[in-house]
Amino acid sequence: MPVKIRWTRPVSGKGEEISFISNDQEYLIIEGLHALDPLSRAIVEEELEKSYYLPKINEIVSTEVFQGNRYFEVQTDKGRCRFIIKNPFTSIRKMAQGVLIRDVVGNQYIIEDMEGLDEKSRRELEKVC
Amino acid sequence: MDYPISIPENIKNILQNYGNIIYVQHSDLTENRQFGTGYLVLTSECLLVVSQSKIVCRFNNDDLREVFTEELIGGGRVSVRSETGIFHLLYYSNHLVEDFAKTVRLINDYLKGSSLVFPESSRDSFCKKCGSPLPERSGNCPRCVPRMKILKRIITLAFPYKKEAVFLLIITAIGVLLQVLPPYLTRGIIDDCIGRGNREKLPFYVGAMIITGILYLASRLVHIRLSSWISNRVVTDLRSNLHRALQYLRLSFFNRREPGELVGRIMHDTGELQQFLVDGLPFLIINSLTFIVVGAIMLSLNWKLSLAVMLPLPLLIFGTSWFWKKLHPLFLREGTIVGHLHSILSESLYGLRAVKACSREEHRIQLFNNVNEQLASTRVSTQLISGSFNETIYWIMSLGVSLVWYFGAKMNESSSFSLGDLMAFIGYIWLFYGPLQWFSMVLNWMTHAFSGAERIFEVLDTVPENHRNDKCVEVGKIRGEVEFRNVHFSYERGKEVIKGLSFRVAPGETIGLVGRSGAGKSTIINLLIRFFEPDSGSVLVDGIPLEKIRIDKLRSSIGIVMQEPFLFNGTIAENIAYGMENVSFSRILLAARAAYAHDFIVSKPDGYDTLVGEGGERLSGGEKQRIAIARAILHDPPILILDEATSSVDASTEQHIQEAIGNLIKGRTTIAIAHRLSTLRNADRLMVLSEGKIAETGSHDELIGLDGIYAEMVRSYNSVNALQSVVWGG
Repeated sequence: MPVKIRWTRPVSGKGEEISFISNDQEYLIIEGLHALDPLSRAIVEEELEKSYYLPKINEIVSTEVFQGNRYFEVQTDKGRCRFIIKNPFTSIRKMAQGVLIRDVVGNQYIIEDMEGLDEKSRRELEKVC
Repeated sequence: MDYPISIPENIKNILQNYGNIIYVQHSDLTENRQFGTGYLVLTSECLLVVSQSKIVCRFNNDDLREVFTEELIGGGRVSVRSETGIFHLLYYSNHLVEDFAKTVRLINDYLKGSSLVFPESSRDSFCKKCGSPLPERSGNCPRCVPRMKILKRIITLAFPYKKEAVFLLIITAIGVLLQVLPPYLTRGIIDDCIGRGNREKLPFYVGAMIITGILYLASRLVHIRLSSWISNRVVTDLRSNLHRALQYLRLSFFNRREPGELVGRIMHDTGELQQFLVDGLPFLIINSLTFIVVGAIMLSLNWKLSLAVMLPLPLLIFGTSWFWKKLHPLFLREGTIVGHLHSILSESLYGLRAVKACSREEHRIQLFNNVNEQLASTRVSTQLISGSFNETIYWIMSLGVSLVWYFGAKMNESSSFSLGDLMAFIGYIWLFYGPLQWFSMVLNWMTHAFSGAERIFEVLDTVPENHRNDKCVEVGKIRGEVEFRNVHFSYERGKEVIKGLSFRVAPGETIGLVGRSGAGKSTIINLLIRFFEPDSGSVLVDGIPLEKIRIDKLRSSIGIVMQEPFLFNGTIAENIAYGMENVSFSRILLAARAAYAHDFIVSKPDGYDTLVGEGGERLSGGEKQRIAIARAILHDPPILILDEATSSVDASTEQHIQEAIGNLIKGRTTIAIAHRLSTLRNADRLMVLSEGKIAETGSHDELIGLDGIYAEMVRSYNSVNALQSVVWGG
């Protein structure tokens, strides 16, 4: 039976509760990775890593606005990429640590440390939000 | 073999030994999930993943049982199930979910030996010209907005008013000339009258000045009248066309947009365009002309001094554009914050009951104040910068005047440069510098108006639903046979809701659609009435594919009773007769009786003339349902779609509604999304939807006997009902 392993609260409490889902129904929820034995923990961690694609933004290379669409070109730990967001108020969310950005297609990116961003990146970000 | 994606030559070489290439799907992630390119290749012998010019993994087709995709968060992955287990092949971002879904279907078809249907060229996720992502698949690229093209298009909007536009241009030119005259006359007064002492010429000069002034005023009045008339006509036409276009667009266009945004488009964008046409464009034309004419005059008067005037020019231009670069993002920011404030405000109002019930008024006040403050600080910055900018520019201009005084006075001493010439020059400087000050602003204005115009044109250009298409065949009276053939459909990129649905309904049959929420029941309705088009497969009525039936003929042959019936602003009688012309009241009455609505209608103070809709009386759920049923009965279509409301009503209303429905479905092909046991029992056949396909089909008793999904649903329904009757006592 195919099982999906997902964070229960990916934005506000990542690193905590984990839900095990099968056939669109959750059948198990655990408090966190610490509740597992090392072998299970390794498996769950791997599966979680595979199920979420979350590039970490190191640098915001450039931003532009056209017709209300915000174009980003960023350097991430997975390489360089470009994306569009529409409404910064709804596409950019504060996480427990850092900031989560979701683009028009549904891809997600994270800025783990806002303070650690260099001056240029910060200016580019302020241009569009 | 034609595949949509061409693979690089070096990869083709690597694959040479593995059979003929059947299909290639690229991914935007490499095999270690970095941004890059990976390929999933299907050949006659095997399935391979190629990345970074290497074959990463390979499976012989014979070993494969199934290829499938999984939707993850922020992307997806494609995997195989072979004899030895499950293996993950390739990951991709959300851009390619739809592409991989189609690819996987193709691969599975190939493995099964079925005939292959190659997907048509995939809709673009990235702009072909500039390579940046597109906000909508295969939509316009806002970055590649060809300004000239838009300007041309805006101008063509004025074509119906050619004569007036030409006249306007002439008046503009005359105005410019009249404006340029006074300094010349000043020169004449100073040199001729005062300097050379021809005092008798004074009345002539002053008279000329006054007349120039009067003529200029006249020309301005005519100009204002003409330009506002033309620009208003253009914008009114545009608003009308825009609204018309929106009415005829496919529903899928509205699926991903908020209605508020479109209202904004019609009112705000056209408003911005209007402002530009009324103020901006004439300003641009007048000042460009003035600039050129004055420049020419100054050069003719004294080219050396003209150079002195032109000296601060680069500083002026540089300063202006520097300031606007700072101002532009602030304006954008302001717009975003205002938009956010709007949504907070409307949320506070629409959700007032919830806010009060949970005593969260203070919280909302705090939220509003936060954003309100943000707006204030942004506005302060904006006004600070633009204020300082204005004053600084003014200073730069006065610098130019000082230069002219200095060099001009010097020249007056030594050469034939008279005092009059100098005064005229000073007069012309302001006419010269003035326009420059605002050029950047107007260009910015232009950008705003243009992007607004672009949004408007986007709507006007979107292909509407095909009304009165010549591909349509003439259809006589529709009997009411409905068929779905292997239909696939997804609302959003890649999330398939209908996964290969096939069924046939004979004329007059009553079919009940059952299934959990989100199983796809309403989607089937949307596809039948052509609010949306299937991704693949076809929907047929009376054996004719929907694309070949005129849309108004189709929709007039299908009646819908929706879950939440929409009542228009009008009387109850008008709502029942909605969509039909020249209906006698007696027929409306009959329909209302058959829908068991008559009694509650006549109990109302205004009876059938009671106003309902947004401003009118609020009807209860049961009342609205019965009016919708009456509407459908009056309409008398061969095909009926019944989307039963889940909200419960009291027992006697419930009975009425059941009987009304009974009246309604007699003799019609009915497709009902059923929630009531009575509807389910009385249906000729039931179709149980699960995971986008039909899981079980048969009559109520047959399905109970099957003891499957349906039986389970009925059991829980009964227990819920039993609970309800205990709680509510009946």
